[in-house]
Amino acid sequence: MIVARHISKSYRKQRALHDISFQVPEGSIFGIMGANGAGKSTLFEIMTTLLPNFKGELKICGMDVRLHKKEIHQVIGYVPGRFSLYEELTTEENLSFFARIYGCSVTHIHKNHASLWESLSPFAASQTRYLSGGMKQKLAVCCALVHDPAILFLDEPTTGIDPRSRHELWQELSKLRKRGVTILASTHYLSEVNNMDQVLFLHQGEQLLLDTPQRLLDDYDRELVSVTGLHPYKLFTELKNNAKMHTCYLSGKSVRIPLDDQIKEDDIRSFCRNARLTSAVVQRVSPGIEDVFIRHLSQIKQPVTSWK
Amino acid sequence: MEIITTHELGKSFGSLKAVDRVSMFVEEGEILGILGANGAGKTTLIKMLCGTLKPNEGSGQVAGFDIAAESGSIRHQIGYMSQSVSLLENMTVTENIEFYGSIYRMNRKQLTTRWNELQGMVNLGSHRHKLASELPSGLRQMLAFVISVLHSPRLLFLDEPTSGLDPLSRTDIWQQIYRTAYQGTTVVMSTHYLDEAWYCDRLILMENGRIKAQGSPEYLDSLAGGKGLVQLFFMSQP
Repeated sequence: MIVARHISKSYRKQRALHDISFQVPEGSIFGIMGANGAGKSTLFEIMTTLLPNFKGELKICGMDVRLHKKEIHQVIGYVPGRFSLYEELTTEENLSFFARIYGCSVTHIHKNHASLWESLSPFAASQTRYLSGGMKQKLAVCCALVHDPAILFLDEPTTGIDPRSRHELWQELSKLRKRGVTILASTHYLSEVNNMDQVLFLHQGEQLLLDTPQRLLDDYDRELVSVTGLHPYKLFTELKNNAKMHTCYLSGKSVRIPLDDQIKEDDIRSFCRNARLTSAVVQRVSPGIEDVFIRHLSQIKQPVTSWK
Repeated sequence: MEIITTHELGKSFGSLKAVDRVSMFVEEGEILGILGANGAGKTTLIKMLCGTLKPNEGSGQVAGFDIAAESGSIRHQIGYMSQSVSLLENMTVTENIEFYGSIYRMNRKQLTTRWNELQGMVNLGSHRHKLASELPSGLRQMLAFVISVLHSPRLLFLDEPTSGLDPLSRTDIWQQIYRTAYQGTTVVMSTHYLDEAWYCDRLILMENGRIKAQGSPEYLDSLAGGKGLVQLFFMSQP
């Protein structure tokens, strides 16, 4: 559905995106992850035809984003990062406004997206400004679906929204996916990676990782040891000060150490014994998605020149 | 020892009860996480504990001072890092530090000693001549954090301290949170990241201005039947 080849974009001297390439199959959820300023929103603007001035090639349903804006608008829905609703209009009015723009009817939403509309219908007559963040975002999704698009773009739909609403929003997105809608969503919540078929991880405009969540985990190329049982900071400083364990990092209350030729599990045990960290618990663990990202992030040298 | 205690604390805005009869405590040196939906009352509660918002019901003590009558004294004991990072964008890292140092009424010697100590622990030193607006998001947040602990407060309030950061910057911030707690500062924070809720010593879950559940992450998880903390948000009575 979407083919991106060597996308680059600079604002004056500042590089926003550099050589991004990916493909999104029909009916899948494609996740874009990265910190604030990593280039997520720029990529969305390019994909939704709002930013034609970029290097590389981008096709949506076989159409070039620079040449077929109008046609592309008919097949995509876009939920931008900041709420795109008219705050002084009611829920129902917002929906019918967007429906009229596309020349379609609201009943389609009521019928085809019943579960999404069900949670909104009690607020049909309320001004949008009084809705919670989670409700606003559901309404924004409804508004983006009025013309039955084949592709839905969501730029950080769950940012600033509480865990329950986030969970519910992802359930709705999985339902859409099952009905064949292709979904591109960005987030910086690592836990949401589980909802995605593919994930693209952007770091300072560069493509750091691109794969399925499962393969990212499978490709983790080290045995991983977790040490717990003491105050995390005490444990971390003790371990970090040992030259062999300089790659260790804090993960919640545990310190994680990827093993290599320099350091084995037994070395860590004997270190803890010798350092009188008697209550330390050393154990093998399977890597999580956070470990994968940290491993890749710590391997690259932070390009200091990329910000001006 | 308890550094914060509240008794039936409440705050209303018109007919809206933002915080409704909240009784809670925070032990000195612990990391307390406050969870809850948007509008559950987290920020209102934190503001009352900081002494920046007067309660209209109940009472509370922070670091031995009454939150209604002695809010000025409380403010000298605390550090606060808000969600919208309040840096001076057109000033360098060092100038930001100097500016906030003067607000905290630190003298030159105190400030230099403390800044040198903090530079040794965070990777800001090599960026000290850069403008705040030029820093990438991780370093901006780190600078805001350093400013909030510059005057070595007894109590530190953090409102979503890692929001919008990459995983590596998040662990950097958490390393500093743990260091601060290890040195004896009590930390009270709000977060939407449920994986980070597990990093706290104790949690308070708020709903409609009231405390819905409180306890260790393990305890709250057991209330949710071990199905993850997110389930607590769906339960009417955990």
